[in-house]
Amino acid sequence: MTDKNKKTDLFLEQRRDLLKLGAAGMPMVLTLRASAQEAVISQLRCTITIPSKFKILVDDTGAAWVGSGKLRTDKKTGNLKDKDVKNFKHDASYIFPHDSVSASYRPDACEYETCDESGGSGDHDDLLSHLTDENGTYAMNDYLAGSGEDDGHDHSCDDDGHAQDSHGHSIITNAPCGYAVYEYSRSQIISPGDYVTQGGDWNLSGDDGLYLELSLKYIDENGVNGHWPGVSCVISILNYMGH
Amino acid sequence: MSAGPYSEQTTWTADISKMLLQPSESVTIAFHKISGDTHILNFLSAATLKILAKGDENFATAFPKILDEIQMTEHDCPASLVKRTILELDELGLVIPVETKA
Repeated sequence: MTDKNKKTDLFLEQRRDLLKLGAAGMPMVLTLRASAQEAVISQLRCTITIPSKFKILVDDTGAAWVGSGKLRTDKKTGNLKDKDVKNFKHDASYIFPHDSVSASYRPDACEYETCDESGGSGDHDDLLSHLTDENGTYAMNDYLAGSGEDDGHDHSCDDDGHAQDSHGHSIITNAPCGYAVYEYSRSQIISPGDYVTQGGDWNLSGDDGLYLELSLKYIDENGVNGHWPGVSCVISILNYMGH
Repeated sequence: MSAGPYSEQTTWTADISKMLLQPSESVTIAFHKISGDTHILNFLSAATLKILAKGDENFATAFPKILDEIQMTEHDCPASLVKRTILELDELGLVIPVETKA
């Protein structure tokens, strides 16, 4: 074997050894920060660029739907149009189950008047509570005297079991309610590292915080093998945080 | 800098006009003019950057070109390592995903 061949073999062997280290997890890039005064924490510096405009629809149970469909507001009720909500949920690119979203991002629950099968307003369901006052004693007279909060109108039920007035409109006593919508624009940049405390924990807030909250849920379910925008960045930070 | 979204079909690119690249014997030094960071690339990450800078490539199309560039076989350099290297470069903002097809 000539010296040249020996050198080539040695060169290739060194490369193979380096690749073995890479396969074992060693980074292939070493980064020096712009300021030598700062610690090298390149894992925290990644950002997420939102690839296209989308919305996150959150309900009061903490479930969430991510998509780009229309979510228009009904001018009469001030709430989202039912049809838009149904279509948005149906076409959602990502769906997260109940309790995926923390309380601070959830909307207030709707206070629908409930319906019973007979088409009444459902106040009878609350009869027992009306019969018992705060001292635990029966208060039938109060209920019969009208404190049962029945408005005296005859309501029917819609398909969802919500009370309707005589015009067929859903009765919503706490509008707007039921859903919260968060919008994200194309090329919007999210910097997850901004939400990591010095103690190495997440401190999520604002719309970006919701996106990151769902990113973490997504990674819990799918790991690194997913299409969720920014998953590699969030995983990079999780690795830094030692999770 | 950006990270994700990506899939097997995502095409990647690198804008080396925003970098000052200085190859040396065993590593390539890349000064990123946007972030001001300096990156030291080994032969695999340097080759990956070079291939992605030539045009849009996804994992599958880039892999054989990168192997050819570093003169290694898949046995020595598994596809998973190349993929991870691309994602590592993505995290640092040196490469970016161009398009993700469903």
